Amino acid sequence: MSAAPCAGPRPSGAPGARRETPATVTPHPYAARCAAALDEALAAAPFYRGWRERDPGPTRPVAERLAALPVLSRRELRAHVPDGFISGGSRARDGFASGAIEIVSTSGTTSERAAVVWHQPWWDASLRAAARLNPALEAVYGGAYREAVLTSPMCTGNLCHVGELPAAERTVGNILFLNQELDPARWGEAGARRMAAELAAFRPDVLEADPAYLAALARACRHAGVALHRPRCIALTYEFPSRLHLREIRRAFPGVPAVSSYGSTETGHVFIECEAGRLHQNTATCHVEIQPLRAGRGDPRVGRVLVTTLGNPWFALLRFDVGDLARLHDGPPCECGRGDGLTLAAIEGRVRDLTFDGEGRAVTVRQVDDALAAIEGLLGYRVEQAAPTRYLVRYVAEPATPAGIADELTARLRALYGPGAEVAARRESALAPEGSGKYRLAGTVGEWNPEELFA
Amino acid sequence: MSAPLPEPLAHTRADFPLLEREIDGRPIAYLDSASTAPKPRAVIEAVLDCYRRHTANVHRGVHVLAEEASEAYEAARTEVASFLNAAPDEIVFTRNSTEGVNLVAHGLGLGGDDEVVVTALEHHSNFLPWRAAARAVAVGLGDDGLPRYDEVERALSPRTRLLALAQVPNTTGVVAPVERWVALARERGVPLLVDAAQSASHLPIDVRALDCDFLVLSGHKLLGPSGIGVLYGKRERLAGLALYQTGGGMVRRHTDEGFTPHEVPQRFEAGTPNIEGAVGLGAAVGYLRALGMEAVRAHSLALGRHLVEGLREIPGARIVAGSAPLERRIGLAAFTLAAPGLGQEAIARLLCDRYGILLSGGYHCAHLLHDRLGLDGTVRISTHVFNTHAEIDRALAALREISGW
Ligand SMILES: Cc1ncc(COP(=O)(O)O)c(C=O)c1O
Ligand SMILES: [Zn+2]
Repeated sequence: MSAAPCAGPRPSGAPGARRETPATVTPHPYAARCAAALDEALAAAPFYRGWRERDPGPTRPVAERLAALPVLSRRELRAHVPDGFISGGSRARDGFASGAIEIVSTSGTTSERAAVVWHQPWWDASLRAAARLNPALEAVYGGAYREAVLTSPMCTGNLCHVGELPAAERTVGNILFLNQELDPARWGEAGARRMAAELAAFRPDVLEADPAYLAALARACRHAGVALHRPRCIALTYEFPSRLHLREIRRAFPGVPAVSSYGSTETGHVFIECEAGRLHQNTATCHVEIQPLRAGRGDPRVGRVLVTTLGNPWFALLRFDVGDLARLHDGPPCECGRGDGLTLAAIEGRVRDLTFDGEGRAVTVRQVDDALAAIEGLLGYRVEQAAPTRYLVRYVAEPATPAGIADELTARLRALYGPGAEVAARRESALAPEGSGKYRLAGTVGEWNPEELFA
Repeated sequence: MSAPLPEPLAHTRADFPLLEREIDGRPIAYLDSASTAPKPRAVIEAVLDCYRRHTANVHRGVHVLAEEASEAYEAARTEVASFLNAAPDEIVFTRNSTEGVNLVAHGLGLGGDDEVVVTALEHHSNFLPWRAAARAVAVGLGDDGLPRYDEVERALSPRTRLLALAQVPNTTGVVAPVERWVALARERGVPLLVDAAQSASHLPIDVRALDCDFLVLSGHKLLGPSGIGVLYGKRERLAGLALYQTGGGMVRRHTDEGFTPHEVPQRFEAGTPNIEGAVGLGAAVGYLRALGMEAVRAHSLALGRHLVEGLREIPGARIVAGSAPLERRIGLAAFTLAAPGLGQEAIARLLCDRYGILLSGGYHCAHLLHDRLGLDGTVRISTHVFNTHAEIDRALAALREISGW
């Protein structure tokens, strides 16, 4: 999943926090709010000036109007933040001066770097509304709460200057930031014990975690024989949750609901997993389109997530390409009873982590994960596609795992990619995260143009 | 609009393939050479040539390629010696400036009571090795961060074993009064080390005229490869240093009774050296010598003046060592910009992402400076031979725009 914000301000959770700006959840029907956001952005946000002529106009349905517009990427954010996306007559200067906004950067290589105009009240509104989509989250985020965060420290800025900080200095208001290492492999037992002790002392209501990091902590504590404090719920975000990670997390936190929360620094909270395991759209602060893969290029129920933000006067995104894929739910309405906005069967991973089968059809991270995650003893993997039918799977396994695991990995990948696939397996002592702190589970070695994949 | 300023070294741009890079379709402005510099084709080719044609070990082979490799390696040493007006046997190849300082700090056999006089804004690489081996006594800083070089006399004591300072600090861009410190060192009979990591790219250096005892520099800032650096030492000073590392290459004879190390500089080059790095550094130095270091200096000073004059006109910009006279500044300035909603590191990121301007933001390995001035980081623009006034203008325009948001 894409990152929740890791830099900059955080939801205060405290009632009565800055709320000078109306918290966006207006009573108008959803379609009217979408149309209003579209009209306002096109009319007033300077970046969209060039988009206006493509708009078929307010007499047409919103979905049709949006579909006529281009897709917005991080490249445009990099070039036009802050002023380009501020609508409604607001001016960046006034926002900065009053403290209503600041600029937050997301890290990574080119395709992931962006600058974002951060408006805390809107983020808080997005969190509150999203939390209502799952009772475990709502129980926590509906009142005062304490939160622990476990993810990459990438975005907390000048690591070199800050160095190791004591827990008190990593606690900002009601939130404790647990991790300071760029690579969880460096935690060692001492690091895991420290975090376990801090969790026990801080007693958070909610643990917001990158699933890969939380699984690593859970595993380290299991080996050290250390029990982990059980929060009231776990919110999994920041990156795609592998079933390998979920297994380890469920084992360490029996009975604690682990809820997938999908969003990004740019878009706020977009989809939340419900009690029934599907993901529902947060219609209060965003509109979402799933732009499907072209016919013949993959499963047509899978598409990229395009987000239009609603009600944020300081950062109006239209059709923002988060860089992730989702699979629409296409059965009867979800048994949880929620039916507003889109319902997803699953988040499928990042577009840039796609691999391709022998016929050139896209294979998502989730499909790879489904193929591999059940293998006994497997702790981590990364599939690299070097040529149209050549794949290498690097993997980490429990020390006692028999050598036969390599055959199982290659057999399963051959079944996934097709009979012509040449698959090699290579055991590694560890798999490192990317510069952004995320773990890449799959991907091609060369570059390709994602635009050609979508209808 | 005034007439465009002369760009006497603009022709060098074509020599640097990196400058053809674009970010989001925009050509980059590389203004971060104080961190590390792009490499001209001459350097890239020299390194590739080592791999393509003369791969062999140095100083021990009997075959033709080994002789070629040894010759190229020693030719690089001679080239560097000429660059500094030193003798080849006064040039020790190291990994970088940091290793040069560590080699001296270790070799002097300093103890806990010994003192080394530095300035408070020395790069960590010219501070922590002294601090680890002895006591570092730091000359203080003025309000704008310029070291109070004149206070050096008060910092000296009978326990002073060495003076060490950057000829141009990486945070001020201002040429230090090294001569004055050398004179004092001579008076007291203690050695002095010059950190030329930055200055070597901007000023002609004559170690004889400067009369310093040691000088360190890094290849990667000098248009050369990473992982290669230089320690210059007066012959008798180098000979007086304790061995740093032992192993192959540094020993003349090894018997049951003991071993005899080589003379300097080989005695400090244990193990197989970074051969292609040294050859690449030789090519880099040759490239700069062909441009002429006087021309390089004039260009750097002109860019520095243009940069600081431009920064002074931006509301909310505060320049580190801004009080220093323009004629002592090279093309480097660190500064803060009061831009609402943005810290200094965020400004540096934004300059990359929105404008394609690559520079540094943060603490530049000089924490004491930032702590003393109460700064949460600075932005730093730094130039090299290929930079132009037009690029400085591009950066200034971006900063002006940001400060006006
Ligand atoms: C003044 C100064 N001294 C020393 C160094 C250390 O150089 P290196 O990291 O190449 O050893 C630097 C590098 O930024 C520097 O600017
Ligand atoms: Zn549901």
